[in-house]
Amino acid sequence: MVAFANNNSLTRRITLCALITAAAVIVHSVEALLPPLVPGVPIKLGLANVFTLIALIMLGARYALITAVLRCIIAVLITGAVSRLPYCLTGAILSFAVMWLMEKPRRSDRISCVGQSVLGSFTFNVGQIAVGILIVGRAMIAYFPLMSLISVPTGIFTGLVAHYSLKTLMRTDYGYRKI
Amino acid sequence: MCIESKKSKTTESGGNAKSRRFPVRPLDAVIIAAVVLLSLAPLLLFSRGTQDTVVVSWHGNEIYRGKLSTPARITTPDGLNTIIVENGEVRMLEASCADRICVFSGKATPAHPIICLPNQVVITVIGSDEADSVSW
Repeated sequence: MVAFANNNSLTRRITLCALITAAAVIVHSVEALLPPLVPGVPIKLGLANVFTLIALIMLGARYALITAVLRCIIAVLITGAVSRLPYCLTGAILSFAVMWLMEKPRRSDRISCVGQSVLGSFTFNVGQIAVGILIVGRAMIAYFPLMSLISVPTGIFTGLVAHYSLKTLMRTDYGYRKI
Repeated sequence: MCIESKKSKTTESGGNAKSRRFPVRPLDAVIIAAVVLLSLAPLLLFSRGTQDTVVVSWHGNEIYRGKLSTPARITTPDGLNTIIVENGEVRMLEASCADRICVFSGKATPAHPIICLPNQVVITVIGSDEADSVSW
């Protein structure tokens, strides 16, 4: 590991953002290969949201939004399910927005990554279902209770993943910013 | 330099409140509870199933049509099948055929009609709401 003179340079931030995005794309694509938890209902672990959260905490809001949007576009092109792009994009942007709003309470240590992530995965579902209502019709509401109930344990899990990843990442040279 | 910077960061995070073993804060539990309540809210707002319509057809002719909420006991004109509507659900009570698949198939839903092939009886539930008929 090499220590850099300027730990906070623009190049460094862009590179880290690209790395996080690349990891998010990989996780998203691998997750898309897994069979659905409940037949017919699009429930996923949402591990790719961890990277939005990590980018938000390590790099700030602008890079987190870039990570979220690019992750959706690239992963959708890789998996070939382009029809899922509006769902993914809306969900990712909405969950980013809510997690960004929760950034201040988290920094003042009133909540943790876990609460932030639960709210994020909940709003991801809200966004997906909102798009589903526009595209498929009102029937999508029926999915909502099941999907958002399952988003709670997956959100807790992804929040814990983000927490422990950040704990480790902050000890490396990448962690130039205080969490 | 590298080791030094690493060391300083470790001690910094070591003194930080965020490095505690269990990361969850009390407000996190409030958030989780709120999300659970919010996700259950549509179930209370849209109580389903009561407005569905039951249609029984026998040899291709409709012999009964009624709400799922109104209890009824229907016997086909040949007397071979008995259908019962109660507690907001409809099922085949009796059938004359040998295998009685229709009896064992339980209650009919919009997605799963009950069909008694030997006696040509079909029980369908038509959802009043789009959400019911498509997804349940």
